[in-house]
Amino acid sequence: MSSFTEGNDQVPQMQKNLELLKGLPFFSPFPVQALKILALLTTRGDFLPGDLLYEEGDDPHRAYLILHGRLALTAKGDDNKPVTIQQFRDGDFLGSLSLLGSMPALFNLTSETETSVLTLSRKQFSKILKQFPEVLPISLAAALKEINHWERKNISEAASCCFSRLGITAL
Amino acid sequence: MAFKRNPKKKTGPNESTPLVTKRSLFYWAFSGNLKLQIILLFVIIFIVFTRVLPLEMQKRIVNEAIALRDVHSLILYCGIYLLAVTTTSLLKLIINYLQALIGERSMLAMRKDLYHHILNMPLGFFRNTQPGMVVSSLMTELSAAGTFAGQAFAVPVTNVLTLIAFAGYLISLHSNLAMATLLIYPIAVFVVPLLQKRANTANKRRVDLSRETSSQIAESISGIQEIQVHGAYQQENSKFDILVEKLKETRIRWSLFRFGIKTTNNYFVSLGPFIVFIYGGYLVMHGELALGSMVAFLSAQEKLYDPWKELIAFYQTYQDASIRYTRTMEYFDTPPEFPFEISVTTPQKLSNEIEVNDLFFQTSDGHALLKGVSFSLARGEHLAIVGFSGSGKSTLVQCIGKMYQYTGGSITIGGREVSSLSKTEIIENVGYISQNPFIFTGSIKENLLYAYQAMLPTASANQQSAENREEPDLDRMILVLQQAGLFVDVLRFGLDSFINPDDQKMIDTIIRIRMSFRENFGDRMRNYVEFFDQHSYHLNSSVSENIVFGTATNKKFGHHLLPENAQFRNFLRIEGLLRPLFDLGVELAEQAVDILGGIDTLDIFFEKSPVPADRLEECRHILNHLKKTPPSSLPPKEQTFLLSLALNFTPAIHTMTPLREDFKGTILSARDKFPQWCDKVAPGLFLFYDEKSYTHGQSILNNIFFGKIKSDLAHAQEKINQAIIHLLIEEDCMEQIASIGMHFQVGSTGDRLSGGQRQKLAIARVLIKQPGVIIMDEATSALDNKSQTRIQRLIETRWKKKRTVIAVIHRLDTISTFDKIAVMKTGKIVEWGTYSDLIDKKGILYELIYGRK
Repeated sequence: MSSFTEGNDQVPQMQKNLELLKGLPFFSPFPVQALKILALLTTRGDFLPGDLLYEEGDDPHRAYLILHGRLALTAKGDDNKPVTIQQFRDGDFLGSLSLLGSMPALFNLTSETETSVLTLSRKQFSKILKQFPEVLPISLAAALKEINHWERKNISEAASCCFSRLGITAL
Repeated sequence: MAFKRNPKKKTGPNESTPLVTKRSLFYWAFSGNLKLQIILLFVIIFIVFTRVLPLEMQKRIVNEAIALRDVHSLILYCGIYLLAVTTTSLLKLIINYLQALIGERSMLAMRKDLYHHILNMPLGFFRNTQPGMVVSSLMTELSAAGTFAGQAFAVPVTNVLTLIAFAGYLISLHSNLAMATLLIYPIAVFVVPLLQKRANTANKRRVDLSRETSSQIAESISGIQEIQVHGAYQQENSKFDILVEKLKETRIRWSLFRFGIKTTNNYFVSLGPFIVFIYGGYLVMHGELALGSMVAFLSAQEKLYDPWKELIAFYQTYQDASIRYTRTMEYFDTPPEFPFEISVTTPQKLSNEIEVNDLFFQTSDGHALLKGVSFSLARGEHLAIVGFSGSGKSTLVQCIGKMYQYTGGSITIGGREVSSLSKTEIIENVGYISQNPFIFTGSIKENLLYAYQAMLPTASANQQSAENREEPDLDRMILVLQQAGLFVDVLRFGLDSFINPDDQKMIDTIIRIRMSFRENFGDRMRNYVEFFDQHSYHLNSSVSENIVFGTATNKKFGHHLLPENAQFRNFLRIEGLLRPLFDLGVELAEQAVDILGGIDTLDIFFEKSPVPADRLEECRHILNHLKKTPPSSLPPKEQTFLLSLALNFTPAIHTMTPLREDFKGTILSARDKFPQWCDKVAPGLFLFYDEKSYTHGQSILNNIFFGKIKSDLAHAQEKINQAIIHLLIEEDCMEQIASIGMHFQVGSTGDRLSGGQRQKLAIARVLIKQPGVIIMDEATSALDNKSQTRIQRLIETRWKKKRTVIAVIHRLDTISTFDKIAVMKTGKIVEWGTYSDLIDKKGILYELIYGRK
């Protein structure tokens, strides 16, 4: 498996990246030139089963779009055994908050299968923010929407026992 | 007379020389230059004589030779005249040389001493001092003082003596006429200082303003990121504008007075001939003065002007230099808090228990930062200090490390009061690791040994050159790098380096490692490394690397020079590649202009661009040109440029343009034919990639891979590191690679290292000197989790009971392993005890960790 063999036909890699970014709600409202540069800067990465992308306490400083494969977010449960909190699959985009600023991760992110991702670092993203200041409000709006969506989903799905854990959008 | 003549040497109080900032300007002219000054004095006396001689000859030529028509005397007097004038010029040259010599020597001494003094000044001074200001003080302001020091003796002595000699000569010619002309000078002496006083006021202000302006410039340049981020151009511009406007006005005032002095002086002096003509003419008419004497009088009168002018100029230089000098020296006139004495013997190791008793620290403007802190630590005990920001944590540890002088109470290390310990003893016994360590330009190793070598007796450190200073053995350095968690990074630097081409043993080892890498890790690493293969296109290499598939033995055939190499272009033409490459060049230029046109030239955007930022404009120009005319009409320089873009095209990096299958095929067939062509042109010109031989011109790592790394993602790097370290251990050459890596140049202020690497290097540089007391001021704040845990483990397992540790800590999850915890608030310790005690107590620490309940 090599990510580059796919790049050997007539469509440039960057063009493919651009299409992928355009398909993500976080990036789609960005100005076209910003998207083009982002498409140029993003890199592809391949992971083997068991590879650790980041662990608790690290600053993840990256966002990932899963091209194919599966990533799992785990936390230390009782007796230090990892407990899977969420799984991410083809087409999932995670880490948009990591692009906006530094915070220590509360979970581990590991690859469960052979996984191929498109990834962007905060360093690269912050240069985009510098060059295109109009991008910042757009990304903040997207992040807020994401958080809102997340909590809305929890209100409807969480059992009443866990209601006391809700309220993040009111912070 | 208003100006100082014959300045006397100011000697320092008895044996010891005064503090550099307290020395007079004249100190520098004489101290260490006494011999030169004496030689100068003799030359000067001689020159005064040779200056007066021509005047007497003039008189004799007119009065004796010409009047008496004595050709013999004429030749004799003219001969003497010529000799005197020639000697004067020669002597003048010698005087100038001696002056310059003295000037430069004084400036050197001034700069050296002041620089040494500045490095020793209290840290508080640098909090509100801009580096730019220190630079301009040392380089610009002192140079005027240096020039002056060269003149300080020579100029006044020469000119006063000349003046006296001429005046004496004039009086001997005709005392009344002489008195009349000399009358002008006292008037000038009265007026000039008046003007000078006002010029001085303006000049003082100018020096201050210049200093302020340089500080302002330095500040904006250091803060350029903030300025650009916030778009604060307006504020910065106006701050600067106000200063330079003021500076302009002051300079104009200053110039006005300076030139005023010159003009006034010139005016008075030009009155001289007037008096000679009117009074002397009258005397000649009445037969009281010979015509020859009047000619000599006129000449002498003219000549009086030169030394006078020089004296006035000297007076101005003196005033200017002394103002610059005193203003500069006043600025730095703070004695070092802890003078650094030169020690010849190694200072003794202290026992490492620490007692702090009722410690107070007050800043110079009266803020109390520590208000009675007391605690004691036994040998090898570990203390974590936590607390709110501004609670005095850093101040406390900095007082213990003697970076600031405490204002009350006591600190003892091994029973000795810190304030009575010498700086050398502190350096020997206390290791201090700061939050934002400074890394110096140089290699990893130089930085690693920075503190270690500073600790060595000064004599040996000064006399020996940097290379053969005493250094710890390699194993010890490696151990320390491992403890600080920097070893793998250093290893990587080593792997990214090039090998000495003569080191056959190393080359053989690398080839062996290459084989076993391919065998043991080849499959697993396929995701991260792209191996070289004669029959497939290498996506992480450029087009020219793909064609040549080797390295040139002749520099003229280096990859960057191939586009303009006629022979190579000919090869491309034969292979039918020239045209497609031009097309590719145009395509790359188009893409780059489309995507990156109009973007600020931030490096990161251009990392993946085939066109460097500074050549984008050229691309746009070429593309415009191509709209109207065919490519063949482009000037050769631009054709070469397009070709260079194409030859540099690396598909894995320059993802904006695809690599077309047919093009790939043509390149691969060109690669196959290249060696034959090469043999025809010049056999041995290229060494081709060969799995069995070392490729010079590629890094050690690429040689081990026999390929290139694909991914810069962290997990890929880690896997590669693990595999390589495994192999290096197997071949027993890890130390060698590490030692190559230690020569990695860290760049200016360490900018080629990451924040974490810088901090690890700072930790390592303290570890290597093995101090009994280690102070860590948030020393691990820039480290990732793993590295932090590693340091934590080191503290816990290797230092417990051996080294006393005082750590200011921001991450509360790491403090449970410390023996004692101190919680600080507003300059006091508000909680003290073991971790479990304080948690059970549910006091402030509990609140800090678990939040307010």
